[in-house]
Amino acid sequence: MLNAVWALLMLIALGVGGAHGTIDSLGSGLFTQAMQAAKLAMDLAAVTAFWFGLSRIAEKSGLLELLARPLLPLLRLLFRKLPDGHPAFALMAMNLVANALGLGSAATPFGLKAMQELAHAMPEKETASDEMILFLVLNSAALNLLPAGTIAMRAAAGSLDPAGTAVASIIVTGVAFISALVLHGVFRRAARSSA
Amino acid sequence: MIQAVGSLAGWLVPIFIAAVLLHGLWRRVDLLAEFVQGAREGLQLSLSLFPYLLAIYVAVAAFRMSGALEMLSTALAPVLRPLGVPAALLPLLLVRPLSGSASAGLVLSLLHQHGPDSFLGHLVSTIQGSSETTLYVLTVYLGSVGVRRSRYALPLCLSVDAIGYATAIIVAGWLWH
Repeated sequence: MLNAVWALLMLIALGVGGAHGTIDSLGSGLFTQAMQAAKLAMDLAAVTAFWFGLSRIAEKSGLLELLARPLLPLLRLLFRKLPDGHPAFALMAMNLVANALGLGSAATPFGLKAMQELAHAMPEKETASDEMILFLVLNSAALNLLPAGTIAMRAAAGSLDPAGTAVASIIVTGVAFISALVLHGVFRRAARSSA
Repeated sequence: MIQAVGSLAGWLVPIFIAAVLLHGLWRRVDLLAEFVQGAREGLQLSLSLFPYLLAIYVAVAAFRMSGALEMLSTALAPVLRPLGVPAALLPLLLVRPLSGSASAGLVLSLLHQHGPDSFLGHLVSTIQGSSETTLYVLTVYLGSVGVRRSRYALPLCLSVDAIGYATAIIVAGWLWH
């Protein structure tokens, strides 16, 4: 899929460039752009590395676990089919908190372990359960309180106010999170009535 | 009001960093050793993502420099303008759920070309900061437990993404237009 998109972008660009007579500047321009990508990637790698380092401290010190605790009652409300004290609860809470703080590196291992716990409770093998799908949609709606990666990109591009879009992102993820809950109810009901 | 909230957001990162360090100190974590280890992992990840970022950055730049983007934008303008979607945003909306590194490359090139503090710069930052690589998450998470029938997972997640993008366009229009 992505393969086709990429090839199409390049070939159309070269084709249009040929037709428009901009192919000369395109040839040299591509390399300038590649160098620019490298410069930006270096800036971004530095911030990513910094955030990963911080993320590891927060994980080792137990701070993530502490922050995840207030989420547990909400998750119990959402996943009523899971018995109290199911190991998936703590893992899902840690995953969502790490995601919310922009600590993607810490989030993924918790998310994968949570999926394994949910899979144990799965009624049918090889078929996603309602609980798994709910967790996935909450995860991809990505309640995000600290969009650190975006702040880094804006800073790398020379913004005067790199954190300026953080509030807008928080509003948007809030709306997405709530619509994820509502739509999950709708889709689940539709799936059940068609089955 | 918006300025006040904006500068508050600028405080979030330093406060969070201080909280992480103080809590680590209190719990007697070897701060520097863990930081270095984590940063090394981050660097390795960035390095492994760079080829993708390079590929998409150059392709998008070529698409723009050749004049193809302008042609596409002109062609799609009658559809997109009533919806309030800037044509330059279209590639990002298509790529965002598919690939994190590709969309990061796109966001970087859009920020560079239009300026991070322009309307479009604010809009793409908002979208990037509020969305997830849905297809990647679904593939990795479901694949890790051997699920083959994902049922309504994909349509559900993509619908939520679409709501997120629409909300971002509305919020950005409200804050920065």
